[in-house]
Amino acid sequence: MIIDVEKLSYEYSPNSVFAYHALKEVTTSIKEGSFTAIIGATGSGKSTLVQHFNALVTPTGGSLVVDGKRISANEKVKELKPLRKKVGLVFQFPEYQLFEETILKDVMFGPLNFGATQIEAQDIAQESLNRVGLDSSFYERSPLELSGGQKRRVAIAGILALRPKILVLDEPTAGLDPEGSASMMALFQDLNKSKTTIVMITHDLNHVLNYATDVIMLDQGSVVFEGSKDDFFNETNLHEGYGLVKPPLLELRSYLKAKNITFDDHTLDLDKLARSIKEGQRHD
Amino acid sequence: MSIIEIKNISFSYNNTDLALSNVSLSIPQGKYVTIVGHNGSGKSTIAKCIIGLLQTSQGEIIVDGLPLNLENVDEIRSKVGLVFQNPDNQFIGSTVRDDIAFGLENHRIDPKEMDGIIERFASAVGMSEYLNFEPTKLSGGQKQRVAIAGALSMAPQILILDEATSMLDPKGKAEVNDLVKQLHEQTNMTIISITHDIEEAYQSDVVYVMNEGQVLDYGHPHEVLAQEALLKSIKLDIPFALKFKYALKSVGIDVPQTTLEGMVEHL
Repeated sequence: MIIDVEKLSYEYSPNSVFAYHALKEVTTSIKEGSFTAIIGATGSGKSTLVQHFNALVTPTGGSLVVDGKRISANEKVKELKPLRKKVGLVFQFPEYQLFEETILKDVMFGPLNFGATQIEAQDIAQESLNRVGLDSSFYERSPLELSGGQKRRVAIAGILALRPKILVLDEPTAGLDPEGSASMMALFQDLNKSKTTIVMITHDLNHVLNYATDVIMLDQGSVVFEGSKDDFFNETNLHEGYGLVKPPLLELRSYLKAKNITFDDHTLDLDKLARSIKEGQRHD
Repeated sequence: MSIIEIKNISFSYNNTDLALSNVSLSIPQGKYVTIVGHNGSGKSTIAKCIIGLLQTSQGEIIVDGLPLNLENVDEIRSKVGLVFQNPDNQFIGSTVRDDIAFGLENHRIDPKEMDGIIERFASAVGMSEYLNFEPTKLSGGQKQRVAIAGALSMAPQILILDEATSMLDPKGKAEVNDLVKQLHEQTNMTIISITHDIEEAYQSDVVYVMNEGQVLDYGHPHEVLAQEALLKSIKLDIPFALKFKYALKSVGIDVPQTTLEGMVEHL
């Protein structure tokens, strides 16, 4: 386990009239090398949970261990820098955080902060921009004149430039068009294949279906499901009533069931499902 | 009968590249029309031309029998309600009530009548209980519903939604899509929805497919969106129902192109 969360609680504005428990004794874990989706309705505690992963917020109760580093309640965390480098956190709409004059400088900002020399930072920045599909013609342009999807790529390159072991993404495809969204997801899948652990907050169960290996579902600050993607989709109707919308494949399954058609109701692959319908027809 | 007739319009933002190139389309009265296409295909530019926010370099636009020109532009705008993409950019009131009142005040509606109108449209979009809420207390889907209520309170004949659901989570998206569908069924208002969401287009009466400033194809979505090669060539998603049809075809089962539920009926 690369992240282990033990009875973690987090309370906003404790001891005040606004006190609010965003997380209540959450125990869960994230496997090294996994592509873990964190899902749940707005306000369920998803963003608060992932902000603990690089100690942007620290627990008010319980603890967590991130790649060997323990962070506990009521204990000041020392030497945060290595952790911040190890865990890259990409917020929602990260394109609003671009600020440098040129794209290259914007991506170099992180490595320079972590002590790289100008030349090292430039090399890393170029490699990261390359990784997100932006070639040298972009280096000297202003980040502000790009399209929304391109800006987001620059922002993500800025995080990749820290060469994080764990990449945490808060709804990375919100507001992108289908093509932009698909190529963004392909990038994360690619990073995952080259051993980066991916933790992704999403509302889109299609993304969970197509890309995730594991799922953690939160509801009102508590974990209500954790396990493999297959188990998640095959557990009965767990996604209903948690502010999530069924992917069309599950919609199809319920239509098929309603008509008493014989098919493999465990597969998440459309072609396999079609084949199983054909086989069912042969037996009838 | 067409409520909007667009004949051979062209438009350029920079005088070199055409954002719209000789586009003609006709929006039938009372229909739910979707316009699909990827970013930069010209679909939002059309909406801005219809209400005279952008001026076309050639061609003609006729809205409800009136040719769009300086003389008619105000009257045409009063017939068209618009809802944009970003829920936060178009919420101007300090509460839901104030936000819906904004348009009414601008139109000098008698303050005595205003409360009744606000309540009627807040209820039409299911936001009656939120009239005194501030925008920070609302979800994205709720804010978009308030934007729709504001547009409806002007009693438009045509409602244009410009990617109104693209920044919402799936639940917000479903809320707004259901509301639009319901409005269309109940009021027979003409709806033009500019969207990336191929599943939404699949449910409309007529779909126009745009690419590089031109209309590639239009017609009933079950026919237009059944062309896998066309959709792939312009990088649009394939509707799930079509994927299912092809998956069945590859194992030797033929079903007619219709809704997902309809295809299951044929198995």
